[in-house]
Amino acid sequence: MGQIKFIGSLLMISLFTLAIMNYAITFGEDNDAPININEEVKVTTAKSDIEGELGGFDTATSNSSQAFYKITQDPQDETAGGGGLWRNLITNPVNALKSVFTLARDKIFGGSSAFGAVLTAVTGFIIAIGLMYLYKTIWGKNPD
Amino acid sequence: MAYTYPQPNMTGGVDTLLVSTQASVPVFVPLILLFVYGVVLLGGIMSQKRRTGFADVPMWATLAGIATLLIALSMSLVADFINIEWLIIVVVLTCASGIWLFLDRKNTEI
Repeated sequence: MGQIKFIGSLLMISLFTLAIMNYAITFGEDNDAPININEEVKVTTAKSDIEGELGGFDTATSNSSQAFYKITQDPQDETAGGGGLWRNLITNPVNALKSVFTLARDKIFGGSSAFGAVLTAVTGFIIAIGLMYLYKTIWGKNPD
Repeated sequence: MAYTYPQPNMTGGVDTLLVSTQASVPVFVPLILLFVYGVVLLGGIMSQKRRTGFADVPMWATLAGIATLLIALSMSLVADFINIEWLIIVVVLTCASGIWLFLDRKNTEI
């Protein structure tokens, strides 16, 4: 999975999660359901966190695009000096994924990190992948 | 004949049957949801594997989650039927399946 595919997958996960949550909440509101998931604070918090991260990703993309047009590269350089400007593109999608994992850990495993060891390990692994992609982006090395 | 739980009074409507059963046997709704999830997941996997020789487990897990969510949302329209914790667990399970699905894709897939 390449870097573009990785970021695309993380964004699709965020959008999918938002769509599922919004559908469930809107379904309850439209039908005056006595049970609605928006009564749970952790769900609404995760939803607003994901929305915030998606907004942050849009801002980071815009800033990176603006900075991209201003970078210069000397003939002796192996990589463009401004490679670090892409670093923000990975943090927002990973943070959104962390919000989903945190919600899953809290609601499925009761918030105990001991029971949620699998999710904790997966979260750490995805963050590690993100960091390796940052390394690949900025220094042009291949961590695979 | 002796019953192990109170008989439902259906003068309030047919859905009273389900609500009173749930009140007597709290595991009733979770078992229905588990049944729906299992049927869609295992049925889809077996069917696809029989037809194509390959089973896309993450996709069927996501579809099973969505199918279960639709049933759970319908249940949420009746008071005292489904617990909000179970509804949230179904939502979270669907989202977790989505994580598995989108991180599992190859370049030629969605």
